[in-house]
Amino acid sequence: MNASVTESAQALFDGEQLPFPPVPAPLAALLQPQGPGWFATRPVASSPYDFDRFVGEVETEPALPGYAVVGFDGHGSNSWAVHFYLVDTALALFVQLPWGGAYVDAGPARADIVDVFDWAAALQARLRTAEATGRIPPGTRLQVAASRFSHAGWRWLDAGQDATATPWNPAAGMKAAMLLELDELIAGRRTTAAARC
Amino acid sequence: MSTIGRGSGLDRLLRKLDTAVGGAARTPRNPERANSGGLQTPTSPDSPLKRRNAISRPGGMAGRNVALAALRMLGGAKRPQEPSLPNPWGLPDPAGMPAHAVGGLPSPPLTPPHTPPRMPWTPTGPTAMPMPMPMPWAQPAQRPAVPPKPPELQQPPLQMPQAPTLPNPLDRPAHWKQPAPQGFAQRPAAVPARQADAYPIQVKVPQGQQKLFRKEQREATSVPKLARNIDRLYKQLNLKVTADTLPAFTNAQVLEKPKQLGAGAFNTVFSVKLKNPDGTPFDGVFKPLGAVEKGWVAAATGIPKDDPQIAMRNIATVSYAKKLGLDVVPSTRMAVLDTGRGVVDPDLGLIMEKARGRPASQVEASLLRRPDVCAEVTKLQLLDHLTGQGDRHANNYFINIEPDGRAKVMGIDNDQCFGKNLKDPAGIQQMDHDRLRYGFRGTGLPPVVDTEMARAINAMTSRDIRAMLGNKLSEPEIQAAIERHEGVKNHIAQLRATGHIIDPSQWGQGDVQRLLNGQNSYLGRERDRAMAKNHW
Repeated sequence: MNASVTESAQALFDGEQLPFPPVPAPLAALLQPQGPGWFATRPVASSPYDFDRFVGEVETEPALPGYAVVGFDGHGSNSWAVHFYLVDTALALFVQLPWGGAYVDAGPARADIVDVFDWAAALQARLRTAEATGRIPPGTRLQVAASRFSHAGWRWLDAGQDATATPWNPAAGMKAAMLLELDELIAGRRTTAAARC
Repeated sequence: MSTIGRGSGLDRLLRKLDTAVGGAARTPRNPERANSGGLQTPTSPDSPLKRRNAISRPGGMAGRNVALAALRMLGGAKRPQEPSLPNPWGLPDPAGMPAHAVGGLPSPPLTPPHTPPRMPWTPTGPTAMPMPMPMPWAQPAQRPAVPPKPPELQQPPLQMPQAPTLPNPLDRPAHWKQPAPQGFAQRPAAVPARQADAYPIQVKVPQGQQKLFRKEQREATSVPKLARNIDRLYKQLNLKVTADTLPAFTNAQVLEKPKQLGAGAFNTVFSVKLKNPDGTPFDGVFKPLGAVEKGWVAAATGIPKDDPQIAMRNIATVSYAKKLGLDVVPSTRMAVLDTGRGVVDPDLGLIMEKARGRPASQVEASLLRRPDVCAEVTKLQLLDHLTGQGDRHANNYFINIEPDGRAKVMGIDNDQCFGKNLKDPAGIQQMDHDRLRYGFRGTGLPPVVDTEMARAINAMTSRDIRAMLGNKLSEPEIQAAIERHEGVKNHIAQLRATGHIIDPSQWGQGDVQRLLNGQNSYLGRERDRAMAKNHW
């Protein structure tokens, strides 16, 4: 348990008057500073701003152990974002939202971040329930890309499945769509296999 | 005549730099920076020793020019009077910059009397830029006598590399004849008188330490200290000294203390109100520069991590846009400003026009169908293909409808570009499943361009590109730019063959609009997102 580092990470978000991302406690305890404004539970080759690298990594290495990345990264005047990446047994979530840019309007940007983090917490809670009830087969992950700089969408991926051949569900309405889908999984009205059809 | 002693810091600096001007500047070790007129690029980024040696070496013209620039800012050096050239961007002529905030200090002559007569400064190499140099401190009676130049050493005055007095007849109307971008004066007016800092340092000095403080304060604001600090900043960034990179603004032009912009304490960008040489205020954005680049796009395109030359990439982008008549990036110059650490410890960074309007990520889809918006955004997209800009996302370009009703597009953060490895203009396209394209956020080449865009791009030659970028980028980076330009010209030829070169008045037509999608155009991409983004 590295409480001081975790507190530092939380203090970083407190300083921005932002909520801390919903990182599961076991992973939060493993956070280590990796850059001036970001933390990760493992060494990573690229910085969080390189969103696509993280999304691509989990596709090419499905056995990648769970990890989390939180913090702020970017370049230039307005290419700055808050990042929350979480890879767990049933979830590969990548959130990148504008924050820290010279032209970012703090109020709406903060509201957007709060909203997405709240949703991410709700998503994890449902996934835990679905896993506990055996509704999510081993090796199956819900992959979510939520970047306002790169791309957004979601899909289910099985271990060994060709990610390039698996289309993304559209970004429009995706938050509600995922929660609804998990509710149906938990209720037994749907399976992940059916969800991919 | 001399007001500076033999052992003074500036004098030592100048003599040290002068002794190193020859070999170091003319025989760069790194062939990729062979056209550099300034500091040497380390021979190998993997060699800290070489890097340290290369950077610590006085740096030939770079060091000398930085020191001279510092002197000129202080009003203490004089260049030979030569005819001034029009300033295409209406920005302050570095030679005409007012004195820095060291009010009351005597201005040193360039040549102390006890040293052997030195040749009057003559611009040489790619950094040369004939500029008038006011010498407000010197009364005629006090002016140091300049020894006559031996005939064998006399050189004809060199021309600025991109002489704007020789327009290409195939070009569009010269950009420098067009009105200056809002916020910048068309042409520097009279040099304002020397003035103190716009915001004096507020320091409470404990009892008994006033004498020590006064000593430190004198040292901090002394000419040698400032010259050393400016020189150090350029060396830290390994920034070549050219007419484009000399600081156009210093604390003397600051009207309001820089304020940190935007949300977040980890990004250092400042809003600063500055004074143009004609006295008119304008709102600028100041971004201090760092010496390291960590972006994946930069790495993938061959931008050196430890020597990214961010300033040069931004300035090169502005030059490219200007040459093509694409008014889609903000005017950008260098500045040395105090951002809070005191006059003695300023930041060297980029000062640019503040972008107006809203980022493309926040505009309504309907705006993205306006004909003039379509034309302007396509211009930015073409510029990005030409410069190899790999990180054009919807938060780093802005769309504004100006008071006169015209659409104005402004792309910022132009630093992930001109990589030597990116030779295909379509290589900036985001490809989700291509590992080599991870991090790129652009699109494919546009499916339609108008006749003005096509004419401007086709009229440009590889010689133009070389002349435009020669003193800013390395040879492989210039070669890659030439190849991207060829690629765009080939694409335009294909569009012409298929009837997709349109008149500028046709951007609003439905069949033209339907050609634009998320894979081939920023407009299509932003329309898709505008429809989905607010409804995650």
